[in-house]
Amino acid sequence: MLTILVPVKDVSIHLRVKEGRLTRQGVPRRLDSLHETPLEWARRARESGLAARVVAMTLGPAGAADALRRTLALGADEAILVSDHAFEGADVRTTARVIAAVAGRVGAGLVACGYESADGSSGAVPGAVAGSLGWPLLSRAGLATVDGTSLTVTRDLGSGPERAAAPLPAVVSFVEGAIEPRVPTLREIMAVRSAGIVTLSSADVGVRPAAANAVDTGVTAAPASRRTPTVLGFDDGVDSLVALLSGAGSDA
Amino acid sequence: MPEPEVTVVASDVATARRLLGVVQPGTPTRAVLLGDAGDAAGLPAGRVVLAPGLAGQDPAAVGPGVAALVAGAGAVLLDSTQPGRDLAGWLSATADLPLVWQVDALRRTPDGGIEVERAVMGGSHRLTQRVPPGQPVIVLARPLPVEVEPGRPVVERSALSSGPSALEIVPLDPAAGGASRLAGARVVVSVGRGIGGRDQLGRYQRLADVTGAALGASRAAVDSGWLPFSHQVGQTGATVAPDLYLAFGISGAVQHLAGMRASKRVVAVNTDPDAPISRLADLVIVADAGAVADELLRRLEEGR
Repeated sequence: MLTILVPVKDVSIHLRVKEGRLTRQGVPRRLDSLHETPLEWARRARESGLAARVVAMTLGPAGAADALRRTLALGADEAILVSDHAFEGADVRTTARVIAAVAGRVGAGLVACGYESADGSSGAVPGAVAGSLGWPLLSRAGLATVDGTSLTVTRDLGSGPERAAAPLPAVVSFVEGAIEPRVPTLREIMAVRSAGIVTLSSADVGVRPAAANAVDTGVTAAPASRRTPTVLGFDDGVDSLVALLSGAGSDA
Repeated sequence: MPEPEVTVVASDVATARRLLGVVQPGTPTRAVLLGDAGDAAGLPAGRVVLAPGLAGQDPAAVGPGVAALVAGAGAVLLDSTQPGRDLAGWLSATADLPLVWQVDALRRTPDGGIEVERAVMGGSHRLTQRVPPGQPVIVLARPLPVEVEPGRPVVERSALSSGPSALEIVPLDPAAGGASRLAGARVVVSVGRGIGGRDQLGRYQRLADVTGAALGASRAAVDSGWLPFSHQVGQTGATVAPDLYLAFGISGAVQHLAGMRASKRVVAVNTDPDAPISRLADLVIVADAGAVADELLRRLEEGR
């Protein structure tokens, strides 16, 4: 029976600059809401008997255990934290290899990701996971159905809606919108407060961080781009807009 | 030995031209054009490789051929569309290369390394990243609108073709396809979740038609299924730089602002004057979006 692995991210609400470097230190963190969509889809697949087990995982610091506990409240059966000082600043390749290694470890037949993460990410991890595993990738799924041998999604890559199917094992990434994540009940949240999280190290998953990486060399304030807007109500606003549109039109 | 070229990979000539605009002038460049990409003459690259047989959006099928063509490149630039991200991730993992993203400027450092820049923290700061000499890097680019002088590239052809794809794809609504008119539009009428619903779209589509504008949308509106993805403006969708950007019911998430920041004039129609989009706006109209659109239509159509 199918095991679905859902990689999630514990994201900081924003970044800040400290001593000329970008940092997430000291910024509140939470489970990326983008990653609640694949989790909810996987939970429904299990509830309807199309999957046997949903495993959530993350690569992050020890503090990411809180985000993982929330995945348990949202319906994951198990949660795995891969945490190791060696993985600090892990790049796309390393992140993908860790996800691929955990997929192998739990016997996943499907990796269900969010299509990016909310903290200004590359959006390239699902493709890298597919590349690491040698599995087909179905990206930007709105809805998805799975049977014993294949996954079918509806998606739009920019040239109109399409239905795309791939044989399992596969990697899928979800966009938000079509699947509404649930809000866990207080009881569910309380029930997982002391839930055990499996923690694995670099050695446990057999992945070493990539050696050659891009390094941040500086952060500078961008030239001020803030405009001071004119604020108008309905009547004056419409007048100004008609004038603007007429101007823009006559220049064309 | 000459320094390795910076190589852009694109499925159409317009995208290749925009990607080349990210690279500092004077840097040796090459463009790899996948599939039926259009006329390469005048592309501002030193060399162009046409690979008509390498087409499709499945990275596992197109990736091995692309990897063969870009082997030896100093940097490989792709655009930040979903197929671009999928291929970039796939290449990063399979060719074991670092990946940087949202890059709007790339240059060689004097020691032969590569330095890239991108906007961070909602555009208030810029981050510089460096890759050591001799280390190729995959670059997901987010080009800013720049004028690039046409070039006279040496054009070659590659006989490589895509491998088999495990994906079965069926278009659901052929009428919904076609390139969006967003790129290059002088006026963009854009809608967000604040317009209330899909059933409200008609007046904005008509306003776009009447003003010769392209219809854009926020991620929230697209994710809600109100408009196809080709209309999405933002970090994940299209980057636009029109003379006039008209935002109806768009609060202005960082993700959206990333795609329209370069607009010359921005008008936000919103019931909340403190919405983040106001920081980028020249004019904020505090009113119901639908009522403003209807009144605009009435006035514009009356004036004809």
